[in-house]
Amino acid sequence: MSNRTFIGAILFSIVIGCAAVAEESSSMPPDSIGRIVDSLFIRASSGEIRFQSEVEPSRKALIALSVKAVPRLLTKLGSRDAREMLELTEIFKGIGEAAVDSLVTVLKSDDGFTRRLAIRCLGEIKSEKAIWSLQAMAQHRDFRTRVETMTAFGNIGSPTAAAAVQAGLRDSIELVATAAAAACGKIKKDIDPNALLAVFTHPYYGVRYAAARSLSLMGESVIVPVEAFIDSCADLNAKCFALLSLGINGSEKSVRVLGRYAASESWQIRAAAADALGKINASKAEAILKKMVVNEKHPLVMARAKASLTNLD
Amino acid sequence: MLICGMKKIILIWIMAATAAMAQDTTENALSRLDKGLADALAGLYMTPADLSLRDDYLEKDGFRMAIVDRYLKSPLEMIGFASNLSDSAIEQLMFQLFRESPFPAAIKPRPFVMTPPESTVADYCDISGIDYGTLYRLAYFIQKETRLRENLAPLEEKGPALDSIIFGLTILLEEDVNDEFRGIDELDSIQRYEEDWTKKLVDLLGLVDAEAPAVACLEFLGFADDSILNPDSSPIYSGGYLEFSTPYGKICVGDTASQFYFGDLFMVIDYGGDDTYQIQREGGRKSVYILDYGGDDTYDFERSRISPFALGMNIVADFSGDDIYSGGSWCLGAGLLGGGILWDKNGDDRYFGDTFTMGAGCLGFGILRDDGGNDTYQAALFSQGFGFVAGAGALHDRDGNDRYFAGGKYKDILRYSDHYLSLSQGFGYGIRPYLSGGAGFLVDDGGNDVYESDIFAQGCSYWWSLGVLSDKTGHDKYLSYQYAQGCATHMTLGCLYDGSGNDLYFGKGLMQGCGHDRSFAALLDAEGDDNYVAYDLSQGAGSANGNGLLADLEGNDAYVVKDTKNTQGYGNERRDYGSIGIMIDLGGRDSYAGGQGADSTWWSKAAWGIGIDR
Repeated sequence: MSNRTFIGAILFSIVIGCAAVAEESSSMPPDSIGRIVDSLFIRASSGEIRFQSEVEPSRKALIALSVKAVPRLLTKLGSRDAREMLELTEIFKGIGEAAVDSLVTVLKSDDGFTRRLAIRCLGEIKSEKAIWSLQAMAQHRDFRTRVETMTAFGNIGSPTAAAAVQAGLRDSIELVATAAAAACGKIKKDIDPNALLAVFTHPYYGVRYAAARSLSLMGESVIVPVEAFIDSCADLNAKCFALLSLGINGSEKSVRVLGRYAASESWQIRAAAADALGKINASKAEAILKKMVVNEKHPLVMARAKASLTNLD
Repeated sequence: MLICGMKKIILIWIMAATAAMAQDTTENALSRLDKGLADALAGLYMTPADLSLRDDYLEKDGFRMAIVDRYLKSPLEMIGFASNLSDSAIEQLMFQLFRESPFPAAIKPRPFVMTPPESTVADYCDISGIDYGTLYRLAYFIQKETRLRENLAPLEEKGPALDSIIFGLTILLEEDVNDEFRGIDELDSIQRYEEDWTKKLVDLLGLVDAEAPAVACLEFLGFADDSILNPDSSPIYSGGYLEFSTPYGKICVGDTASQFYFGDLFMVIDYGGDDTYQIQREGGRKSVYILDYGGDDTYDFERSRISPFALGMNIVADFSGDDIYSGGSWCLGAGLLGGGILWDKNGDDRYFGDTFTMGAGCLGFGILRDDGGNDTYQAALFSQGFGFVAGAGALHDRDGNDRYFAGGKYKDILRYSDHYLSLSQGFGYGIRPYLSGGAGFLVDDGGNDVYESDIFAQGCSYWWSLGVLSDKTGHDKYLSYQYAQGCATHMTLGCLYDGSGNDLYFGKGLMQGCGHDRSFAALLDAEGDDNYVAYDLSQGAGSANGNGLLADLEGNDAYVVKDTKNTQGYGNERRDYGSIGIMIDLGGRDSYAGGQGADSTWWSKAAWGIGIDR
């Protein structure tokens, strides 16, 4: 029996035993489940290389305990340890909807670490019913809470949060705007492309990149407004991001627009066009890129065109 | 006389011109770097402003150093700062860091006015046989110590809290070689214990004027201009051996014979001979002042778990000879709630220590300055230019072919079964997520040097800190394994600057300009034919929204990597956006093996990374 299997077997017996004992809870000390959760959690969140084989089975055992483990796990949400925080997210994700009501109660916590980790867990669970509780967090005075909320909205992916994430794009803190821009691309429905185009001149690159990615995920409906934006915008970097947003997989229409910019006088515009073409799995994109490789003089544009061709292959 | 004067003027003129040329060269190099960086960023559709980081990704604690916040917001300025370190007076930099302290001391030291030396010394011994120079030196340090104690007297009512702070910091800084044999539950229990102590420290530091000891010691930073510590010529002593006691400890005056000094030494003035020092001070609130004017000396500091020099000052000034300095922790230019200065002016010296040593500071400052000779520095952890909470540490070696080693004792059990923690050689460190870290500087002005470490070192930092290694000239070797050579992990800053020489940079990963988790790190090599070898996530790499830069400005260089995908201008995606990785080589015929780079071209395979070779 391998070490890993052995540990797994022990942990499994603990879970089975625990489940059996839980039915006769009257004979158990009230904190016994807590002790089991504690012991498993120490192993699940251990970062030491020596104990790696204990991590996965311990996590699985905690997930198998489901709601029985939740009260004790909630007390750990205030952890400041990065590994513990990551592990709690994984465990709650595994437990799923059964943990949502309990996690929602924690959102009122005054402790920022607890509150933010609860939001992250709700996002990972992808619980639609948590959205109503999370709406209030989108206005929280702590910007880090707003960042987590926008990310959670994106992970849940429900159009119910569309208005909240579009409002988040206008947040004065760039990290909130970045998370909101990324969430838009995961929600898609009821998102106004113009709201994303408006942040292409944002001073922070994270916002610009996330907005471009989101637009490209929204499909061909964004092509017309993006083209209009490129024609009207004087900011070179913003134009490049607009071009990147046309990297819409499978879109021949995008290829046609990008083709016009593949011969631009600006090497940055050509580089952005090459980048975007590499994301469109269409034969015409490949043809344009091959032509760029032959004719291009700027080493970066050439490199990007080659990388895009490799990507298409 | 006139010719002598003319010679002096010409010499000054030449020195000024040389300094100005050096300044121009640095500025030219940095302006070329700016141009290269602007091009690279344009290729990522960015501007230099995009490299700016926030100072509040988490709620700010009260211990953040202003220099850390400043360079997080303007990270490229850190490179200019690192390139000028070797020409600057480190002690003035230290002074500046404390002047910008986030929690300035409420206690303001009174100015020092020397009173007649005779009466000071006469309180403790018969002064009839002591020459005036010696009397003056003795009185100088007795009076300074008296004043230091007076300045710290208001803190005494918080004595128990201070003792707890010293103990708590000891808990956080000490490692145990037995950890690798402990079980998972025991290690977890130790971790909880340390975390509890960290929380307690945060509370305690809010109750006590914890910066006061460092501020009270700041005046010693003027040591380079101090006529006692830096006289025009070595004094001559005609008396014999002298020993007497004071409330501060034992005072010894030695002639030119070889002496054996031991015990509770407060002050030693030794005028020559190959001497042996066994310094045994216990508890805290102790100071030591040693002036040794000649001979090949051996200094042995007692291994103490708790720093005897906390809430005090320790100074060793050795004027010549090939010396050996040996100690455990908290010594050899270390300041924990106070100050430490070790100044060796000449000779091929050897330094041996364990933890928090050789230019280390926490709520205080520590400076190890060695002005010449081929020196060897060997320590285990938190050393050789190390800054911990609200502290700064610097090791400044001004000349000679030197060898620096940090590690080899405490295993990095988190990541490896066969590698050791270093956290040294220009390293800043804080306690995540409770206490911002300090600033650590390792500065070497000349010679062909070897820097050897394992995990975390060589212009590196962890958690809201700053770590810089700045080597001005010489053919140097930088050897490490991980998190090194211009690396920063978790909202922090790291920089390795090498001015000239044909250098070798060797290591595994997260190095050679690698920023991880909203950090910025850079490796800048200004001149020479250099070799860079790494396995992965190195040579201009950004990870988890961190930014990394490798810039080589001149020379025929060679770059070798093992992993093509995440090196030489690479940034990965995290939190739905990217990390920035930039590699720039601005001159020479360069060779590349294993990676994306090539001579005289641009490359960019990752959305967030770019490389330029000109």
